[in-house]
Amino acid sequence: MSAAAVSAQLRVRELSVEYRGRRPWWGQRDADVRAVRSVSFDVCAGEALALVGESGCGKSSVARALAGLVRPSQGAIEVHVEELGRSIDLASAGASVRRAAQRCIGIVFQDPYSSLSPRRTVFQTLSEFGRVVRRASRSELELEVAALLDRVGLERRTASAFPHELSGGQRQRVALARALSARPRALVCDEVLSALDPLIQVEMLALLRELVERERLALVFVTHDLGAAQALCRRMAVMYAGELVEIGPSSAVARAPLHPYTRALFAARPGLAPNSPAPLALAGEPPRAGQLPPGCAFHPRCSAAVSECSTRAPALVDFGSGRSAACLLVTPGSEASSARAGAS
Amino acid sequence: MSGAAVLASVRDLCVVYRRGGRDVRALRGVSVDLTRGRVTALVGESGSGKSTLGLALVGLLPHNARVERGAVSFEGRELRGEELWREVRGSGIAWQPQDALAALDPLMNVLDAVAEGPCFADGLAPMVAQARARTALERAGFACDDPALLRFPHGLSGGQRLRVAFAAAIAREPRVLIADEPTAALDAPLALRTTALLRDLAERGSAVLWITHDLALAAHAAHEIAVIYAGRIVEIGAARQVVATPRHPYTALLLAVARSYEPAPAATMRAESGCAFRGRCPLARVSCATSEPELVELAGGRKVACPFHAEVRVP
Repeated sequence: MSAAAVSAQLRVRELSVEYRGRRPWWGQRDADVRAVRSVSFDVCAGEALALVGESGCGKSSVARALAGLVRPSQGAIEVHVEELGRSIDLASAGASVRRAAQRCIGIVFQDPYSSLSPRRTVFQTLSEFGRVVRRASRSELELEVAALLDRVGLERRTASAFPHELSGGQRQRVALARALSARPRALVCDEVLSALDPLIQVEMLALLRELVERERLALVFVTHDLGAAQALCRRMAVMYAGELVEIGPSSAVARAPLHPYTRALFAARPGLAPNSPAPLALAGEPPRAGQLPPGCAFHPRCSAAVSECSTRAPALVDFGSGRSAACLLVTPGSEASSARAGAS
Repeated sequence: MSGAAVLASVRDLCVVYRRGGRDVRALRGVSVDLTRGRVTALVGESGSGKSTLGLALVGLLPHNARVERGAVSFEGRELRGEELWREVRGSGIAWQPQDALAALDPLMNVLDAVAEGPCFADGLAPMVAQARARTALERAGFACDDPALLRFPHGLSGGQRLRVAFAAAIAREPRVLIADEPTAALDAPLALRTTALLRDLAERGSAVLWITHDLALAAHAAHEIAVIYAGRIVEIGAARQVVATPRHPYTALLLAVARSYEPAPAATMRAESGCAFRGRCPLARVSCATSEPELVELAGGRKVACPFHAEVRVP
């Protein structure tokens, strides 16, 4: 256990992210919004973790916190820095150490149309880190950019192009190359597939898989596409209303979900096989982060909810073999029967 | 008998874009009928002409586009000229854009945004228009006392925005709705609810063209699937059957990718003559290079543009 903890590239502990409520000029400040509530997970080098859930569940806030774009209000984000030979907590480290550690985490955003500067060529975008941080010479930069383009499967002449000359898939590859230009050991991908065509999506997935397997990057793959999450990531974490409700190996989570929410999420996805069951609608909308129901946040939409669910909030319970779930109705030992009940 | 139920149709439509001094063919002889009570899914990859066909069906092609041949007709009337389009657009054939946030006026609350069409285009009194808007919003799944109705677009969730865009499109009770990728970038529960809205609209007697990437969702929620490749319809038929037994190699390729998440052979240069798909086709042979296959009707109403359809294997 401790050996695994040491080798983790990324350790997230009790992470909470809060957004301060706005104050309109005419009145009281809105309530603060807790977008992420006490989320913990580890990602090792060479491992991909999928973070799935509905829109607004806080998965993008986790991604932004990992990338240093929002400061966590509580908790720790420990990243292993090879040069220092130890892990640095991004939330508590001093500015200069934090900056060095933050470079170990790269991020790729959802929209390749707005995330690249339209006024810079691909070369300028990809060489910025080397030019500004390492003060590399022009010839070094040219070699570096060529290597980056090779790694993401783009032709070298792409370097002189502007983003508007590229297709969506090519742009997303440039965005990925930019994230790699700082030589990160961990990569955060926030919905990088959703703006792309399915045929381009699978190419991007293959590229990410190669980076994880060959270059031993730690990947946090934020997505709402459960199929892509399963295809790329060995482990999957399901978020609801800012909390982790289930985490475990992707195949096990998909085959026999423990949490009723995971079950509903997978049941809402239509299958392609001729005999696949009709998708089941999940009633209601996820709660707004400022107005969480008491007890288990999922209980108003849960078909299995009992009265206790509205008073007591469940904690994440370890089910063994790397699986955990947060539901009062499933306890270790009873999961087989409850999974059956959900399937029927 | 089927002629009466066809609300809108496209006949042999060819659309050319002028780009950088060159002509780019976006649609090359597309014919589609949109029938009362049916949801037709239009599936294909980026650049296949999906959105061009959608825009042509609402008469909103960009300025650099030219209709070379063919026409769009609505209830038997050919639509030529902006005058005729003005009569039909919105009230006869409505458009639900893909990007709901960009499509909604940031300075209008939900109720006003949805009432705008009935009020200004149909000339209804504001109170009547508001009642119309409430009906449309109710059909889009908002309760009549929902606080969201008085919010502005920035204060809505993605799902709410999408339903507002849907309500705005159906507020004038159009006979035909063209929905451009309403489920792209949505999570599974929300995508499922969106398709239920489209089905519901069809059941009330409208025709729906649903542009989408998602074959699995289309197989479940649409009545018909039309597959478009390089500006031509290559296969069209009953939704479940197209997905269960694809008859065009391109449909089979799309299905294989959707099932396995493994990359497909990349598109080579678009062929100048012959079948446009032959560069990626596992069944391609010499004869494919000489002539472009026509859409041929098979048993069960399926139409396929491939002479070797019997050899296509289910992935």
